[in-house]
Amino acid sequence: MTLPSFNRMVNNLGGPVRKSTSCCKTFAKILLSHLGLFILVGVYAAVGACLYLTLERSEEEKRRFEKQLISLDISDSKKYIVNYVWFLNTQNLTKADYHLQVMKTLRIFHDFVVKTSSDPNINYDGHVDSWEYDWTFPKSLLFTVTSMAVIGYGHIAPKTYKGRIFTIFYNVVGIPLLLVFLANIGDFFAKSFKYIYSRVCCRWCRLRRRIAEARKGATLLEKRTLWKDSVGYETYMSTAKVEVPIAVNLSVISAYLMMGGAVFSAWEGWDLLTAVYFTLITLTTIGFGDLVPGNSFLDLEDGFMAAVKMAVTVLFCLFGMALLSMCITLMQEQLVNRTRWLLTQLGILEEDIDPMEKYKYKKTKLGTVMETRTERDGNERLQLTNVEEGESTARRPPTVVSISQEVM
Amino acid sequence: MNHTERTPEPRGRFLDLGAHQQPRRGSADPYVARLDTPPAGGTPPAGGTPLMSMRRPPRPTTPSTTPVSPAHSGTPPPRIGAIQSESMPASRRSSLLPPGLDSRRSSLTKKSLTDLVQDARKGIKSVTDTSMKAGQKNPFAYVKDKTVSVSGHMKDATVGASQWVASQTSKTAKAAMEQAKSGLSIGEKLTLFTVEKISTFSRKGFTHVFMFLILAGYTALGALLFIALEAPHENEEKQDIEAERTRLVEALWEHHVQNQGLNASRWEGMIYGLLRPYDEQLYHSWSVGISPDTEDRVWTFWKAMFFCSTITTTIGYGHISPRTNAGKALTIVYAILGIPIFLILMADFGKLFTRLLKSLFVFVRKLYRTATCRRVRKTRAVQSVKPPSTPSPTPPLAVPESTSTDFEKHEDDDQGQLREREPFLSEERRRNERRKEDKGEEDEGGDDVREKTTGGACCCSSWKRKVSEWCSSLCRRKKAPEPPTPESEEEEDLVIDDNFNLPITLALLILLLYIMCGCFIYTMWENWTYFEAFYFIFISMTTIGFGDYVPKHPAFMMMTTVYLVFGLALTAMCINIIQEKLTDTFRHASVKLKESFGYIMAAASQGEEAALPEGKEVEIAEVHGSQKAKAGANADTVTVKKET
Repeated sequence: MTLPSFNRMVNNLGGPVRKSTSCCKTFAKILLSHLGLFILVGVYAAVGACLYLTLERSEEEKRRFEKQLISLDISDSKKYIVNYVWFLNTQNLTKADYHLQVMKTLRIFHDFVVKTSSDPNINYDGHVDSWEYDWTFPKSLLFTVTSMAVIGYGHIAPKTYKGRIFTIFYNVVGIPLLLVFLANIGDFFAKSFKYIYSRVCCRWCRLRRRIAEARKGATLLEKRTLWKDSVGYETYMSTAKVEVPIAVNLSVISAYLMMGGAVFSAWEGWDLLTAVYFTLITLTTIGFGDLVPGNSFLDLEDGFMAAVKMAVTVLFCLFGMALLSMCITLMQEQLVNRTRWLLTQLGILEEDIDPMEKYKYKKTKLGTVMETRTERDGNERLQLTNVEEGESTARRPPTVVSISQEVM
Repeated sequence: MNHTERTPEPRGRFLDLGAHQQPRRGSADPYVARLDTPPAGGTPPAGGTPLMSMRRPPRPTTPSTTPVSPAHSGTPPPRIGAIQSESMPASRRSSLLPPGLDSRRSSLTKKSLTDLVQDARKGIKSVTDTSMKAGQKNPFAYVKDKTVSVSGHMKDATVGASQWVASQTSKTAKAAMEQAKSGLSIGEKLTLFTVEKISTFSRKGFTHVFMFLILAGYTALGALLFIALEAPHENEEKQDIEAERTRLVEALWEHHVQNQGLNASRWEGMIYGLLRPYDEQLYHSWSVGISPDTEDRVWTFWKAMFFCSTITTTIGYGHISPRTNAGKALTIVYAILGIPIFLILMADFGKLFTRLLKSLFVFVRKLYRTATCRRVRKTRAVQSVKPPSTPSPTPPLAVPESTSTDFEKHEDDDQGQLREREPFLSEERRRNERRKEDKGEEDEGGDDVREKTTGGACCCSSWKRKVSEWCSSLCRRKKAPEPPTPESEEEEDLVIDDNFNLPITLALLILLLYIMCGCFIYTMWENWTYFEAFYFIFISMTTIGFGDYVPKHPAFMMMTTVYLVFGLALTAMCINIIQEKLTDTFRHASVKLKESFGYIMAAASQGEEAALPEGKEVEIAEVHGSQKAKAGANADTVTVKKET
């Protein structure tokens, strides 16, 4: 469509252009929303899994053949040992000689086994025909998700050059995508967690204080209105400023770890410590790969439950990482402050704090003076309750007395 | 000059201030020092001296009135002072005075306080000078550093300023102590000097060096612990295999002795039955990662170190992993403690590398502009080059900002290296302030390059010119250079400000170069092809860590650790730079968005039928673009936030 005709159309219709902007906006909004990102990540992972299947499956057939050859070799060598021992039987040997001979052959056999089976490309398991396929769809999906989340168990890894090149490009896109998703979810979690914490825990403190501050002759009605404080605008311990304590965060994390431990020990048949270890190694994205989930969904033929288990495992990992990022977000500032405080106390860090940050000021009859600790967070009633905490008192010119007091 | 105009008046006030105020601790009271610092000529005022000296505790070495040193009398007087003394009405001048009890009626303004602070600074400076004369090597470097940070907050920190003054007073007391030390013997001086040097170094390099040492120590500790926990298990496993083997042989001998006359097929079956447990034991130990025959053990010190570093970096190759329950529990604790340490180190190194790269970049740019390696003054002398229209119309209320710039100016002369450090610590606000000036400077710089190249200055060889072109293209000057401002030939007017955003391409190029170097090294060390090495480095740098490729030799393992730590720091640097850039673009995008929205709103209010369709369409298209840009920037900043 040429430009003038489009213009004419715009002229005629008037409205649609604006509509299209809103469409675009809503599209962007949906894309950036939690659900949209989630779907995007899911689709990306699924497409990647399919591509890996096509890239790696043929190679894997080759490797299966190789492995069969090697297993045959090993069983041949086993036969050789048996024959050798039979041969030794016919010889008349002393016990010591017999020991020596058999030991020697066994060592050779052992070295042979170790050498041939240590090739990581063939998962030697002692049997000739058994072969566990690396690249089935569920495994491939787990692989794409874990590599995007930079966990990288490594029990499955691409073996072909094509697959490796694809891995590089796939992850260059995939890692930031997943990070955006996790940050998004983590942010959402952090907000809601903070809200819940403020509503549940701080509400009580707030109420106590309000009641303490209320005039004695306050009616019941007046007291009841104390319940109705608008979120984020509370004068005392407001939701916007309340900090979720480190201990709460840590307990949330450990609770999640324990939950993971319980779930995986039930599904995968690990003991509790191993399952917790696995959960932590996964959530911190270390991902050794010595323990890998998958016993419960090795083959999707098991039916519906296996699929559900796989989905739950993947989601558990993703949400755990989001939860971890949430807790870190919530703790970050407090941790930094505490570390700085500790370093200052130890004398390592020189005190380099801006005086305005260090002291809070309040106004008294004499002028602006430093707030004491009890005044700052105690339940004592402030002289000037309408001054927001942290509000600059600079616009009220301080009198000289206060300055000389401070200098002293 | 301005002081001469001002000083006579406050005399009386100071006298009654002296009556009311107790003398502060420390000999060099900033207020007093201010009084003492005479007008530019250095002549002490006629009156008031006896009283001052009476109030002041005796100083050991310096004369009672510390004159401003010639170096400082040479520096231009503070601009604000001049403005104030010229433009202020006489009635307001009283508010400029240091606080006295009676000045309560004329309320103390911010300005007067900042002025006060400035004067206090001068007093400190004079003390510093005298102590420098006494042989100390500028003990007050950190004081000045701090001053700048305080001056940034001067706008709203009226009370903070007084706090600051108080802290400075104690500092000045320290200075007096320093002076008292000046009479020490050479040996004592030397020890003092070295102690000071070490302490300043540790203050400067604490995060960089000590954090690294802490991480190394933590890794070594972890390695020892893991060896203590895991090595016995490994030995057990090996002994198990050995025991299985001897058991097999024994059983074979038994059979040999007992059943001599068996037929071959039955015998074979029995042997197979005996071999199976041995086979299984072998398979088990292999799957655990233990090769019993060869002497190389899994849990040697260096391998354990490598293992610990794979935990802290969260790479987790998994070719070594704990087998015992104790080892697993230790891994949990170790990861919880170690990962934050490593992350902090990475953030720190990222910043450090950004800083280094920036200074390097500045050096290279400087090399092209001047074609020499001489130090170029890093002041903002642009103001002097530019027509002097800017400073004069400053309204009296806008003084605090300009005060902060004045402080910097003072420092520029003698605190070159501090200034070099300072901009990176500086806040967003200052960066914003400077951006405009940056542009101007870069344009001027461009002119300079052009002049040099066209003029064919003798020092510039062709390759230099090429790289300079590349450099200037990296700088991405969008605007065409303005007509060259009249510059003096002296190099002092060539201004280089290192407060800028590094080009992302440069950072990425360095990262890529680093990876390429790594590839080359790994192809030498291991039997890998170039691509395999690249794949290994990619998988490691992204901390995915499949573990299908791991360096074999323990020494190479350690080198890999160091290589990866620095590689990750470089990545952090890149992320840092990209983050800055994105924040910038995001800000621009939001501004643009606001503008275009405003336009649309205006058009809408004017009436839709009246608005031009063409213009409307263009505007809407722009909205689309900026919306997308905003969304993208938003998403990316989120990413970066998480990563850092």
